[in-house]
Amino acid sequence: MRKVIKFSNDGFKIIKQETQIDNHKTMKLNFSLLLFILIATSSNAQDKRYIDNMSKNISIIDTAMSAANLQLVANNFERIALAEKNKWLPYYYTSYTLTRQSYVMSDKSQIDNVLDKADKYIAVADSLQPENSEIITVKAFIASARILVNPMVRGAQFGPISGQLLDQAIKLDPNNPRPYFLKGTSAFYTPPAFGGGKDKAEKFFEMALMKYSTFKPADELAPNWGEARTKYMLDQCKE
Amino acid sequence: MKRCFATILILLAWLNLAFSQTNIKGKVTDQKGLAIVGANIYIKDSYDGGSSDENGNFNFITSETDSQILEISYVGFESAEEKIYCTSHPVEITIKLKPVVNELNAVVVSAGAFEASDTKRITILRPLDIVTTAGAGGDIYGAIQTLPGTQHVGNETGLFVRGGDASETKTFIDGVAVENPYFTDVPDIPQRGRFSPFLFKGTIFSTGGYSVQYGGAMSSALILESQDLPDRTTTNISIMSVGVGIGHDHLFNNKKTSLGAYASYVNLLPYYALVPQTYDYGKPPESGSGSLIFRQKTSKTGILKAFINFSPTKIEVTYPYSVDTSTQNFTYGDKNKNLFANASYQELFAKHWTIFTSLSYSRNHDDILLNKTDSATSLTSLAQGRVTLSRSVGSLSSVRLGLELQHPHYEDSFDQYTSKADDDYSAEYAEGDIYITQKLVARVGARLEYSSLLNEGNLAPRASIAYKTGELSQVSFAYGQFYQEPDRFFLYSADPLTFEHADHYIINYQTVSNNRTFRVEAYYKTYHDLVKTIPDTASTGNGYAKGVDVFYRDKKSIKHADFWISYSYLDTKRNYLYFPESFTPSFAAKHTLSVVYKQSIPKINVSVGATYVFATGRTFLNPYDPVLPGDKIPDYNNLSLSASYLTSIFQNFTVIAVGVGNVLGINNLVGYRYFTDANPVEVKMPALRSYFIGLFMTIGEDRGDDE
Repeated sequence: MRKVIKFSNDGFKIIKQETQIDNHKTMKLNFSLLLFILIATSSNAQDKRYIDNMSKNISIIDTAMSAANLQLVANNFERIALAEKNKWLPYYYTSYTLTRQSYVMSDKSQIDNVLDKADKYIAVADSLQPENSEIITVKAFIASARILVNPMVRGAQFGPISGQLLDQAIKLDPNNPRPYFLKGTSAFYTPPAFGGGKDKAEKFFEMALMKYSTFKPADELAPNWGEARTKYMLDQCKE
Repeated sequence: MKRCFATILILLAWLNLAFSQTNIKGKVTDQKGLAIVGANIYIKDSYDGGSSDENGNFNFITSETDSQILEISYVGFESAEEKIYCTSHPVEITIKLKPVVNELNAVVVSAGAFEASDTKRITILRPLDIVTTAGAGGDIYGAIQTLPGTQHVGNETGLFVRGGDASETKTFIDGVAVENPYFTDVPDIPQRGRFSPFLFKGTIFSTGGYSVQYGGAMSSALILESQDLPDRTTTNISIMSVGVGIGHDHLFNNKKTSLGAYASYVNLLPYYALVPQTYDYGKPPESGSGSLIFRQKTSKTGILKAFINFSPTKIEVTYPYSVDTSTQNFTYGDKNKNLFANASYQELFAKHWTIFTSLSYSRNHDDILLNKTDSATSLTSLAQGRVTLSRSVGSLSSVRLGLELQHPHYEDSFDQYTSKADDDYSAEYAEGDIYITQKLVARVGARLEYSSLLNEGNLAPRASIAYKTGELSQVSFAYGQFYQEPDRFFLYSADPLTFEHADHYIINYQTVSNNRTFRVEAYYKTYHDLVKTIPDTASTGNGYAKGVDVFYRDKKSIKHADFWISYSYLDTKRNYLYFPESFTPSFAAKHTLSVVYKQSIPKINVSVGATYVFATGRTFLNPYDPVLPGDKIPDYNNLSLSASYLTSIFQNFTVIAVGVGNVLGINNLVGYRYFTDANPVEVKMPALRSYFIGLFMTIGEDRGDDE
């Protein structure tokens, strides 16, 4: 008996199988093959479940605008993260969604608590996938969100932290458009006297758009947010 | 046959899946039964779960079977776990979540203390507030004087707190006592603090009832905690109407080590030439200052800090009154050299323990020339060290144990006479913060002190309790005994003196939210064993102080505005020094009111501020007519204005600040002096109005906007 089985990412394929074998052996083979298929499809199903759940939630991130909806999405990602444990993307998206939520929360006293949670999960993502430009970008996003709690006091503290992280993110992947988008956003909301302003922001947004036009996410689950928002912000700059 | 078996197997598996779906539903609430919206409810280690809706209800289906753990989590609450059994029967469950117990929402020991900090999220004053307070002149002590419990004593240096004199307030930097926190004292001209507010990340101003870690102060402790590692390398330049300064902080590439160097030079000659002063200055104040600041992160949790500052000062003032009748005026000249150095180390160990150690040496030398002929010198040096061990117990409670050693050396000479004294002072202390519930905390401790010079020891018990009455409000009560050694000039003599001693009783109510703070505090203090100089020098003086302090701060009601109002009522009398009987000391005003207002105008990057201070007249004991109630100076009124403009010069973050003190030009009397008869000489403010203009630039403040 000879069989050639090739494994690939989405399960396995039987490439070639020799059939010069007796009946009994065939039965035996069939049974073990069946078991194998069962196991394989179940792990295949697990992958499919992961991909389906992730894609479903990623597709609603951009349309979720209210704090309540973002909370739901964050909860969904959190459940995937805690069930999978070894995948960085669910932690990454949980953190990203929580940070988005912090910007639109009505109860300002909870902002730091939400961001503490975002910090916790992005640190897990960072440990699973070190030196990743996207993860560092979300870390910068969290630092910028902290400023909103008290811009007068926190601006001087978290502004530079965010800036340094974005520089690091660009260094790790110069083709990642998102650090430029965030740089543009922080410049947009920083008065010219503090080194911000619409003119500066516009340059960052244009740079980001250029990067978006050539950016290809690694796969369907990889981070790919911010383009629509960049276009919107660019229009705001030109007003 | 085998094929058949396999088919059955598949069928069974499928059936198993199809029939084991369990519906799980229920409600998530807080302790009061109010719905929690958006909680995450899920079967541990599975994808199955849901979120609670606007009524706190949740409902989901799981294909997990048998015994499972249902996990419920929500930000700000402790996560809960419930064991459930998944059969095909629906599971219904109601979950009450407990709020997370942390230092942000737990009750805190608050009686007596005002905290200014960037590290805590809810504080009463932040370091930035200190430098933007009109009339404070960027001085920590100036800003502290806008808080209740302090007095506006326009003719003396220092903080006068709740009926205590300036010596009863002690400044601590990173756990070490600072013997000379102010620029060298000159008669009738209050001096500012030596240290820049930017050196510190946190300030605790305690007007009574403070921790056993702090001794040698009968009334008040100002506890300053220095900055950690800077975020980045920066250079700061300041150009002011009174002088110039430059500083550089270098953060090394490992981000674990930093070294800062600062230098400044202040000369008031040009300023005094333009702005009329009350007194004649033969040599207007001239001072230099040099500092080195070293920071080393020794591990994730350990930090070593070292700071050294040297500052020489020169001044010569001529007063239009004399100490005796021999001359019509009196000239006071002083050359001061001050050195302050300290190093501290903090580290966590064995999970729950923290060790804090600090060492310090300081030396202050004055070379005084009276009427340009009589010379005097004054020297204080202080070597000290401290070790504190603390252990956390549970999530909130903690205990502290510590040891403090000080060796002060005092030396004063006048003409050919020299007096010297050396002391070995030691203190051991122990204290526990015991959380009985999240709403009720007790701090109980004691401090054991011994002075070789006084050849005496004392035991000072202290206790506070605080109870949280609402989400934002709490009441607290504090009691404590506080000792300090008599003034150095009494230590030279062989008089049998003992520690001076005060007892505090404080009751406090406060409600603090992010944007509004209200607190009211009533206190009663008794003084014992104060030094009395008549008929003989002995520890026989006594006194009391009682009063009410009210503080309100609001950052919410007026857009882009921040204001605070402090009111102090003080009733105090003491029988000490040369007082013939119990008398209200000259540094105590019955009513004091401060209003600080700041308005920022973001559109043009300008912020403006005003500070108004009112104090009722203080009384002075007339030694030639020692009959109560003494001579009373008129009420004090002072309005100060300030403005600052934020901009960038050559891309560098720049602040331009201007200020005017006593803008209305009210010629306030700040005191009386008595020389030869019962007619007092009036002491005026050092200048009718004061002006300030300055430019502060930070180079290298990367706000993430450079390309």
